[in-house]
Amino acid sequence: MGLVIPQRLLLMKAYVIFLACILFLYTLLRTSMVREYVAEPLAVAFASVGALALNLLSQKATVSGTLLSVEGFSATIDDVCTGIFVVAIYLSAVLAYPSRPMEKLKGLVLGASGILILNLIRVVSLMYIGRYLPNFFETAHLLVWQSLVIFSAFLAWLYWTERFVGAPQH
Amino acid sequence: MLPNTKALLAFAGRFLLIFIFILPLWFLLTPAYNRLLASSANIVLSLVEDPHVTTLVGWRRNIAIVRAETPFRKGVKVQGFTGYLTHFNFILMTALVLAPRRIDWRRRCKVLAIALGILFVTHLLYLLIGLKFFQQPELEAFQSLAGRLYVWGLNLYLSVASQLFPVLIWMALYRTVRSIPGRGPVPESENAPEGDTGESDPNSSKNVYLVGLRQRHHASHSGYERFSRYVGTTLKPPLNFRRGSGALAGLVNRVVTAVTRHPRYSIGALLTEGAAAFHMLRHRDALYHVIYGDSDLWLLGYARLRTRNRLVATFHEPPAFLERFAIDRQRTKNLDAVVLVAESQRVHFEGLLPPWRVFVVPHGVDTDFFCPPERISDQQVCIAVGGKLRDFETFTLAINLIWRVDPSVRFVLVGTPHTKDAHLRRLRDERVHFRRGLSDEELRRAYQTSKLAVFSFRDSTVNNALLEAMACGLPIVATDVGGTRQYLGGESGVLCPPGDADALAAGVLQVLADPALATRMAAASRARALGYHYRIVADQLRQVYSKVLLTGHD
Repeated sequence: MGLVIPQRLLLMKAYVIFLACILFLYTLLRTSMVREYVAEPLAVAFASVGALALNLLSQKATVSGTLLSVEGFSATIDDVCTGIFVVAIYLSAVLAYPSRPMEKLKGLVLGASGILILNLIRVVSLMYIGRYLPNFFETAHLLVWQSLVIFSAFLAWLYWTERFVGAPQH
Repeated sequence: MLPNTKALLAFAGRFLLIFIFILPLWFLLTPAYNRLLASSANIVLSLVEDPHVTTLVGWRRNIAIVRAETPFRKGVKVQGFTGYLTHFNFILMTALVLAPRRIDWRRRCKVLAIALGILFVTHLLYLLIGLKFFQQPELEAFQSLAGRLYVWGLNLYLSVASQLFPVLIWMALYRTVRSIPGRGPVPESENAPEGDTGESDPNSSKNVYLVGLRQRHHASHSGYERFSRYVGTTLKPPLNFRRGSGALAGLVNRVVTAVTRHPRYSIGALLTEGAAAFHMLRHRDALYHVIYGDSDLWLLGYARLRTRNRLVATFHEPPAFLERFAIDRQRTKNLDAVVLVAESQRVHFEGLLPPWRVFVVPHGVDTDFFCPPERISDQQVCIAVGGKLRDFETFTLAINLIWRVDPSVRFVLVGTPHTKDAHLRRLRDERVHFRRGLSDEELRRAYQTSKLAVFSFRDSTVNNALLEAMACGLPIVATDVGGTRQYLGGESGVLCPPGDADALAAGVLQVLADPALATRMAAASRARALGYHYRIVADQLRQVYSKVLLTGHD
């Protein structure tokens, strides 16, 4: 007869791993080295891809480092705007949930990609809002989109647990 | 597309709609909420700040920090703001609570109230802890390790935790509601095809818990609690006795029966139910089976109303006793089903519960342990076991009638109240052997060395001794009352009218005088008992559990 670990213990373990991962990743992302070598290049990449998308939508966007400009409106993309913190939360949730390494890998790759793509949509939409509805920009930037991105990460995690995590692991 | 993916997308759609709908509401309510928050924080500040120099004021969408150099004398100055960004998680929280479908509104409101309450406390703490940060330049805070940790924590809250909190709170609260889309069983009967199992798998009894105290006079191989070896898990009772002994125990039990208005209820039963109720509150979609509903059921009915669990109870007493023990509508209304051990009990429950919530499942016997002897006894020995609901007056009359015809017949009376019962006290004869406190093996040996078993009942549903005797392959002579006929069938013995000593004596003499008849009855008795093996009856119990679990909760 094998050792049966109570479900509550597994749950507690998952919560502890989740919180530990969040704290670790957040601290890591706040270090100057990660900021310099990960967050800033990512912000530049977001600005470039955002500009490309806006140009495809005929917005005549220009980019300079992390400064993204369209006609009549400019915005700097900092590390928080890249969605990297939401990815960190998602990553923590995937690592904490009991599953096989390959399932975790799939979850990380697909989920993180999805969140980053949604964040790109956020950046593009915010440039539109900044240009056409400037009074609503702050609300959309700080409140609406932030909530929606975290909600989408939550949905992605739920979908991963259902679609990718094998039944025996439940 | 997976059905769960559909549910997930539907949930996301509803969330977005609700989010967009309540967003304008937030801007209307923010000033009022900020004033509420500022007022609450001021109360706390007045208690912890000495001298009291800081005051918070709700100002449009922000909260302003007003600080007087000397408390409320010199001119005040606004030293900082705390933004409305962190409070916005109210909207995310509300939308998350409102988005799932098919949740009872009372439950939803309760979850919303708890969630918003937690967030309010979080906002208050953030405001109070963040005061210092909002009043000084960030660089100044970085001068010390404590300051750095302080800034780190506040930034963590702002950039990660403020939006993550609603999701975590929601998940924690909805573990009790079980309605996260695409996960676990869908609430109520949504999309649940017949026979669908899921977490509440009715065919396995992993989420079935048996509640009750063991009857101390039962042989360890007998009794209803023996089913726990085949179905469910027995919840360990805090006490191993019902009433205890001594004056104090008597007083406590009197109080318990008076408060519960349940004449057979006891302190042991109350503690057992209390432990089970606590267990019930921490579980859901489980089934709790009170194995002695007649004496041990009072509290769990109320606990069941508070949870999403099912409650079933087995009743063992005959209808007249159920009436006397106040097993009425009040006591049975919160049961999802009752299990009866004899058809004769149905009449009592007809007016109390709808017929589809009443099941008759026979009692069981361990036919592996109680088995016929290798060699049948050739001595004229009759065995009678047990003292409950026995008609000893008729029995003693019958014994005397038997002796008039055949004085060599001997009787073994096991567990009878021979010192208390006036009729048995008069039965002082070397041909009657009273025995008490037998081990299981001794009891089996007593059955195996007997020629037949006699049961003179006043009333009956089912009887452990009757089943044990049948399992040991004894012909039975018994009173035809209650469930005796149901268990005995037509060929296992002789049934006599209640209170008829002549018929009882005639039945015993007939079996003793006819070895061929005795052999036929013995074989029929054993064959019938095999059908009552705990393992077989447990399957019937599982079917009851299955029906109860698949039926809607309310």
